[in-house]
Amino acid sequence: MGRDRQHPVHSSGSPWDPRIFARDPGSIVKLAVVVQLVLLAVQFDPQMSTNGDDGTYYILGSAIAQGKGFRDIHLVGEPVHRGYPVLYPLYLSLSSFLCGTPLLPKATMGVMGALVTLSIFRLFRGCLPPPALIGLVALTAASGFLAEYSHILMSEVPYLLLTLLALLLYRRSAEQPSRPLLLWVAGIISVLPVHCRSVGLAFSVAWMVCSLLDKRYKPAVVHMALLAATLLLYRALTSWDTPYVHHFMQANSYFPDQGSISAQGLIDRIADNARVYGGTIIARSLFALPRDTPETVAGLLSVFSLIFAGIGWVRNLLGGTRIVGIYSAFFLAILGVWQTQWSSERFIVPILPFLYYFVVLGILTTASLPSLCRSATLSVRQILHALSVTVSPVPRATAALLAVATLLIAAPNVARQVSSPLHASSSSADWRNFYSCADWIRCSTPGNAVVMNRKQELFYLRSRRVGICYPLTHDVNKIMRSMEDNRVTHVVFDNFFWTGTTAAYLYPAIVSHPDRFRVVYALRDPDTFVLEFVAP
Amino acid sequence: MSILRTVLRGSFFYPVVFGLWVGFVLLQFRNHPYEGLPFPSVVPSREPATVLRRKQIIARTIDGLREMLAHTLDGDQKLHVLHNIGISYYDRYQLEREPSSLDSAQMYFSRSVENRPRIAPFYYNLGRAYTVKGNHQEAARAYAVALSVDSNHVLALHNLAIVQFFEFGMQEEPRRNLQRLLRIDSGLPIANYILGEIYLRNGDLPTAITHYRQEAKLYPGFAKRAGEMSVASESVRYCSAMSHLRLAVLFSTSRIDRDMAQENLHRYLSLETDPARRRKAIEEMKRYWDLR
Repeated sequence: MGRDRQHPVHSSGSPWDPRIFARDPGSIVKLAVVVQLVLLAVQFDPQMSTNGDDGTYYILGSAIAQGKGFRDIHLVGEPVHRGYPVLYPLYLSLSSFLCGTPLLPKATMGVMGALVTLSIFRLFRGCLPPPALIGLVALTAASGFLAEYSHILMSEVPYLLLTLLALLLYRRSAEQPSRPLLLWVAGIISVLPVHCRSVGLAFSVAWMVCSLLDKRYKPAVVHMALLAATLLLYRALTSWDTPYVHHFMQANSYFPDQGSISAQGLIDRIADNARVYGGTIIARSLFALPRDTPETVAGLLSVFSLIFAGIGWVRNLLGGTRIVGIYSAFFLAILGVWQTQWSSERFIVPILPFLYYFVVLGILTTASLPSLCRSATLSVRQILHALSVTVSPVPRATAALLAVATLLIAAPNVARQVSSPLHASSSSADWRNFYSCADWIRCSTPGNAVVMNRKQELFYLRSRRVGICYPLTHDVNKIMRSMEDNRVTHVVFDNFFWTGTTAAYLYPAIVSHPDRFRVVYALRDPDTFVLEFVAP
Repeated sequence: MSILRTVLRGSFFYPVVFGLWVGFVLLQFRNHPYEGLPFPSVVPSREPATVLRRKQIIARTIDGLREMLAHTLDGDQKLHVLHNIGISYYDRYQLEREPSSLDSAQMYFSRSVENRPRIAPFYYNLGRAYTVKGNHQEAARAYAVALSVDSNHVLALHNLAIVQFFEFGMQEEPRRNLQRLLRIDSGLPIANYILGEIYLRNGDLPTAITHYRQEAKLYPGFAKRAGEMSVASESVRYCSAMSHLRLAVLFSTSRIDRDMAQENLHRYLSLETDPARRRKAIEEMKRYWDLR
């Protein structure tokens, strides 16, 4: 990665050099971090979110802290967990020692979000002129989705922070190749992302590819060795079976009888994902658009942001920070082959600051192209070379354009944070009733009760009883056998607004065997029940 | 001020800010409850069939299953989905008494057995739909197929015997079916009443009395489990009432026992709601006893 270099082509035109940018931009970054934390304070919700994955992470952390190992202690039989990598739950286990509730880890997530902003500043300090750098920092600090994931116990933000840390060390070790300790430290940090989120494989591949392209073979070898060793150790201690391969091979995990995906199916999936991500998700992530934004508006913003991001990405590949561009490309490739029904803004969060970087760089490049092209004596090679170095100082018009673009993107992000309350769904009537059932179970059943319910991790945290989900089969006898085999004592018949699977699967089973159930707790608006399962 | 300046400018800035942030969160939300007390329960009945049979739940079930049907490719799963949609429509009929719901239930049950799967409950439920519609021939055929798949399907045995006795006037076959049924499950309603009637018509009074007594004895349990019964609760009450009446008559004519006759008459009157039938029973008993 390179630092600022002035190119003679850009000495024409009056450069922008106001006093505010003459100071160390670090002061502006401090202000951005403080504003970011204030915004986080406004919307902070101590409650667990309703998606359930944060509950799973927290439970895994608690299991490690209790000495039970990497196990799903909320499920019957406390099986070894085979899904998430271990690093984030390990981190949560530390806070479980210190604090018996999710409050402390949620607070530290906010710190991580702020560290992401700081890391972005440090990473791109030598690669962008001050106006662009401040714009990028402002966008990162103001990002609505980054703020949302700095509240909930999910691995996106810690993963992002680890990748940034690794990138900083990559640059440092490139600048100081004679320090072997730095090489090893960079190598160790570089394998942490894949142990935080499995998509970190994209980062590992990008690390190795870039090291080879930069003819730095030692970092590539160190990374590969550490990656292989840590992955083998992790698999040996947990399980060789991973659900990700299974999910990738399935056509649709919600309809298992559709079987494995075919070659044509894979092509269709990639096309669908390109349409979904390119059409709305990326724009929604960058601008924090509400879900009910008209398709045309989202589409238009998508087009503009993709054009600038694309230009910025190409320019990035020509420059010294190309590892960012290569990593982002691999990351998006993995998203492209994942099942389309799971596509969401959540998967964009780990590269969101990089997308902002590409957009800013794209605006910068677009603004500088006219002056490059005006010079008729320049060859294509010279133009490309000019594009590969950082433009500094920035002309007044370009700085103004960057400021306007930053405001246009940051404003809806800030508005989203201050206007819509987070976790509103957990206070809706269906969730209140569900949690009331959990409270009733906790107060009224013995400690070894086993509860069949739709959201076992959240139910476990509230009721302190293990559970299982009903099998996704329409054969009512299989559902009954599952209850008997797992020694279910109670069943929660929910009425969630966001899914109808309980009605579709459980209702036929219950009404077909009315002598096996007793309603022991019931609520209205919406109808929600706890049924006792009676042995034959 | 100099300390503040040092913090703002130096490397203490971020640790101080982050420390303040964490401190703020821990202090602000230190009393946040992660558990609560449950809301009061609203429904006194414990019968799931009664409690869950709500318009909105049934509508959601039907909508969800019909959507899943469109995505289900596996043949066996498809049959189960069709059958479960039928169950939901049947429950909707029991709730709202809309004939169209019963027609839909019968249609989905019929579709679930189109390829003659070896699943007894599919045929049994089809038989139930036919029974309610009054198509007893088809009902009997469906129950018979259910029994050919599972000879110990108690509900199919039960319903087939009821249809054979009440609708077709048969005696021998329902007697065999019910005796087989009672060996598997002695707690089903109406079975003992039908056997009592059959034995009474054949002159075997002691066996008839045994079965009537058993039917009467089991009735309180039936009443508590009304929602689980595969037969209408009115039919169960009728058969229990008639069992008491038969016993009252038998204890007045063949096995003279005034106390038993009176007790059974009183129990009959407590169960029978029709005034004309009550009057008729009282008149009949007056013929046997001097009741004033």
